[in-house]
Order: sequence, then structure tokens, then C-alpha cells
Amino acid sequence: MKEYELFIGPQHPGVTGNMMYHLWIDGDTVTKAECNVGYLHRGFEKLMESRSWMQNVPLVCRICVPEPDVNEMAYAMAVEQLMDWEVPERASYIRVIVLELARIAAHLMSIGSYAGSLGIYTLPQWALGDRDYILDIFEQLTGARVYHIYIWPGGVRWDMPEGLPKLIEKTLSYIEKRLKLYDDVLFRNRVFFDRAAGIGVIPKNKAIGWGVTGPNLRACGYGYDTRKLEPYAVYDEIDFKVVKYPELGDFEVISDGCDAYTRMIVRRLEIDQSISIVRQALRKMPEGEHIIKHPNWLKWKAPAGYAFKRVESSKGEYGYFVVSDGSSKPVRIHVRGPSYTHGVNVAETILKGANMADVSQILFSLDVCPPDIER
Amino acid sequence: MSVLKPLKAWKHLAKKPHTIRYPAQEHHDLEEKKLPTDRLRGFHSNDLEKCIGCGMCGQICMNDAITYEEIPELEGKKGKNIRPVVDYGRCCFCGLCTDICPTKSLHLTPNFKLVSTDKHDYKFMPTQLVTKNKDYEVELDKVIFDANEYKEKF
Amino acid sequence: MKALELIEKGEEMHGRAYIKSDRDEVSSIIKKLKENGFDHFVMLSCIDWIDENEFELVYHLWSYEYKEHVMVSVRLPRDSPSIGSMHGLFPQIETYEREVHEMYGVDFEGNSRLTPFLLDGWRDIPPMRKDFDSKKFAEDVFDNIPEIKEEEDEGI
Repeated sequence: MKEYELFIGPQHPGVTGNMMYHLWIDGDTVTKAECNVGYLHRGFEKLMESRSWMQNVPLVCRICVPEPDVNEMAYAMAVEQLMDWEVPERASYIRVIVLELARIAAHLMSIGSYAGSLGIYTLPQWALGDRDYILDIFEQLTGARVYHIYIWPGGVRWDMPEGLPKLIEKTLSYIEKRLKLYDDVLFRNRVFFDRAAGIGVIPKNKAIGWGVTGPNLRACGYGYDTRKLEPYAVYDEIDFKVVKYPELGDFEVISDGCDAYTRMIVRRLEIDQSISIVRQALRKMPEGEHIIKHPNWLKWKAPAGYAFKRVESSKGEYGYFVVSDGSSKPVRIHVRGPSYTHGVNVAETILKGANMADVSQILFSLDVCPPDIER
Repeated sequence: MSVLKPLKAWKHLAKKPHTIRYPAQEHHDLEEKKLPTDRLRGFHSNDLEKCIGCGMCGQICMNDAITYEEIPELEGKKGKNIRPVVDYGRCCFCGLCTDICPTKSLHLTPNFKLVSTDKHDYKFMPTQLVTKNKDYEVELDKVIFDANEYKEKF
Repeated sequence: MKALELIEKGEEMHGRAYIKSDRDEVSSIIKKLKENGFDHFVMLSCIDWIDENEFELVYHLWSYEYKEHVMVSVRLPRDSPSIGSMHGLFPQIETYEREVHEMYGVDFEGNSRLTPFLLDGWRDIPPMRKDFDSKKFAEDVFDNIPEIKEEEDEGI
């Protein structure tokens, strides 16, 4: 059998973003894989060291493109921990609504791209079209569609305008109706059952040791979710279920877990949970202030200390480590993206022995996002 | 699991797409008009009479997009006679400059369109004549490119 | 807190356990924590304290069982920073050590894969150090490109 060296390059519909995988192939099977990143390195951490605490807020959201709000939330929480501030309750409820809407939008994009990797090209077009209605809600609330600059340390920038709860409810009912169509086209499709079951398996006893987090870990059977383990905002007052294998609702359980099939079903069911969280938050929201009074932005100094805060994003555990020495600029901000472990070490280990046609499917089911790796 | 259910997608052949062919078409037949909201962060508008030339908008901008130019006609009023000039090649439309402005003379309008083949058209001093208009377009005769233009327009 | 009981030193900082250790005992501390429930390795950060002439490496661990986050910190001299690699304990530490080596210049003995990770053909000092001036770098590399003169009669 002949051995080939292939570069699945930075501009390829079979890879989840701008990254490159270097594969060695023997016949039809992959014998070795190496991940090559660096196409999206913009030097955020160095840029953030020469800007003051408030000037970093518009920079931080640009690290991740599909879901920028988790960056703003984690940075705001870390700065609030250093300053010892308490966020007003109305602001916490608005933050929960924004984060869950961003989670629905990111999951829709992930499901759509996964279907594209299988060859079912209807779903990417549908999913990205439906995600646009959520971006319209963000435009009404925050002033921009993708980079919101809305969750500030101490609260949120503006209060909700009139008429927004009705628009949110209308969009959520529309998405619920469309999800039934997605089930017919992808999740109950014979092609999905045959191609995705048993592919890209992460061994269950090694998953935590490899640093797997988020829906990938819950598909292995561990019910760990940062919103329940270390609740932030008002998640401890809202009732929701953590979706994990083997409780897959109406969908069939056809494998032992930790494979591409289970990971995508977990993401599909998390959209249902997010819709229910947004509806509860809209009902329970109290009146009140939306932000704490800030000190003068040009002279703001944070006390010295080390702060680490984590947030549950749609891809996994997102963490911010902020170090301050008492001056007006941070000493070090280190961003931990979930794809740092998924895309580099886990993917290189799982791709060994996989069929060439399944390489794309495995990467999309792990939901690797290159900006997290390289910021 | 089913082999025939995915064929339900064919009924979408008869439906209209999401896309609105702007500007020829402004809304779908069944939906209300879809316009940019008033909160949209577009180009700046600055009231040159209210502005006091304090310089705080330039200090908070993290991209160095705001510089200042002197206008001799405004000498003697409250504050300094310098006014901000914005470079839209660097501006990221975050709006921190409007939140820090002490007199609230600088704010962002929802206008988002500016098309030009000359790169010097993208660095100008916004004035109070820039307001939200029907086409959401920035009219270049309402802004100032040079300190001498202040006499003609005001 | 459970981590402070296990290692018998350290302090609590904003709800997290912060343990200071030195080069020789870091490996045994992390091994002991891993065997006692702290099985999720979060990340490895490096801080450049240029005024004190030291690098500080911080190893973050999390336990799902006790719901606790530990930060184990080591100080290294800035002139010749080197420490033993720990990728035998957690396989993903290999990538974190690769990035710290590239961005700060810290040497990890035993890690055979310290190849460039993010940067391509870099010939300057490690860029995340505080004495690397990124504004000057941008001006030297990018502002020296001569401007293209456009011709007068260019039509579209």
C-alpha cells in the first residue's frame, strides 16, 4: 500500500476554521495526524497588557467569532472578583438571557456545519438562516449583530428596550418549529445513524485526564456542567437539566456513548434546555439598576491579586486568568479556550486509525474552533 | 430512523427565501418593515457648540482613532478650541468615546453607509449636521475636512 | 479547603487555593493532587515579573469531586529558566509547555516536542516578554514598506 502525506489546509470546507491538519495516510487509513495552527494568531494577550481595564472590553469579544459573549462575561467576572463588586440582580438576569441566546446561535451553527461534513448540504443553509433571527434580537438589544460590547464589569451597558420580550418569544417559537424539521432531515435520517455511530470514540476512562470538557464530556456519561458546579449569574435560581448520555430524550441510544452520534444529539437537546432557560429568565426578571457606578475610566486602578473565572460556553469550559499588581493596566491576562485541548491533543489521538472519509466528521463533531486555540 | 422523512425538505421549494433584496425590497410581504434599530452603532455626530475640547474621547480610544484639530473661530468659548477628528480606518465602532463624553455632545448615529473611491474621505471631523437619514448614509457635505470649512458651514 | 489540607501549605485567595512551591517539589505536589481527586488540568500560565527578575509559572487544577480550584505557583530566575516537564501526568501539558517555551523562552526538560506552535519563522526574542516592544516591532516591519504611488488617470 502506498503512503501519502496530506495537508488539509487552512482554506478547506472540511475543517472547522482556519487551521491545518497534516495527515499521513496508508491506503485509506490515517496513521498519524499533526495539528498546525497559527493562521489566526493576532496577539491578543500582548495587546491587552498595554491597555487599561475598560479599554480591554471591546478587544476581548473579538477572540471568538461564533460566540463572543462568553469572553465578555468571563472578563467581567474576573474584574469584578478583583474589585469585590456585586452585580445588581436585573443585570444578572439580562446576562443570562444574552448568554443563552448566544449558546443557541452557536449550537445551530455547529449542527449546520456538522451536517455539511456528512454531505447533507440543506442544513447549513437552514441553520445559518435561522441564526440570523437571533442576531436581529442582539441588534435591538446591544447595537451590533456580532460583537456586542454589552456585558461590562459591574453589569450591562444599557437596559432592555420596550418590545424586546415579545420579539424574543416570537423568535423562540419560530426556532422550536424549525427544530422539528431538523430532526426529520438530520437526526432521524438513516445516513446519520449509519455514518456517525461508533466513529471518533473518546475512551471513557481517559476523557477527564485528556482535558475534555463541555458537550463532549457529557456525551461520555459525566454530567459535569459549570453552570451547576460553580454557579454564576443567576443559574442557581433557574431550573434546567444537564443533558448527558444515556438520557437522550426522544432519540434512540444506539452506541456506547462518546462517539460522534451522541455528541450531536447532546447539542441538539441543549438547545431545548436553553429555550426553556430564556423563558424562565424573562418571567422572573425583577426591576432595578442595570450597572454599578464605575470609577473614572482613565484613572481606574484594580487592587493586586490573581483572579480566575470560568464560564460554560457552547464548546466547553472557557476560563480567564487575570493578574493585577495594583496599577491601571493588567499584568497578565491568559485566556483558556476549550478547543485548546480538543483540537490539538485529543484530535491527534483520535484520528489515528480513522478512515479518511471520516476525518472531517470527527473534527466537526468535536466542535473545534481555531480562534480559541490561538487567540 | 427513517429513509423517506428527509424528503420533507422538498416542500421548501415553494416557499420564499429569508433574504430581503435590499434596497429594491424593504420587507417581506408577511413581516413588518425591517429597518436598522436606533441603537445601531454607526458613524459619529458631534455638536461643535456643546463640545468643550476636553480630549477625553481621544484618551479612551484604544485604537488611536481620534486626533484633534484647532478651529480658530471657536476661540473664547468654554473650554479649548480643538475638536475631534475621527479616522474610520481605525475606528471599531465600540462607542466608549460617547459614554465618556462629559457634555454628551458626541454620539453615534445609526448611519452605516459610506462608499467612496478616495481614501481621504474616511478621515473627517463629524458635526451636528450628521443625523439619521432615510438611507442610513453619511453625507460628505455635512462633515468638515479642513479647519477653513467651519466658516462656510456655520 | 481540601487542597490546603493535602499539601499542608498555601493560602486561600478569592475562593481559590494558592500554593507556592519551588522547582524541586512541584512535580510531587501535582502528582499528589492528581491522585487525590484533582484530575482535571485546566491550564499552565506564565507571568513575567520583570522588576523582580523572575518568571512565575502557575499550574491550575480543578477537582470535580470537591469543586475546588488550585493554583500551584513556581518562581524561576529570568536568566536561565528551566524546569522538568510534566507531560507524563497529563498529556495535554505538552501543548501548554510548547506555547510557554515559544512565547517566554522557558525550557522544559524531557519534552521532546518543543517545536514552534503559533509563530512562523520567528527570529526575535520571545514575544510575550515585557522587554519586547510590539509597537516598535510593528513600526519597523510594516511602516518601512514604501507607499505605492497611484497614477492620476486611473479609471474604474
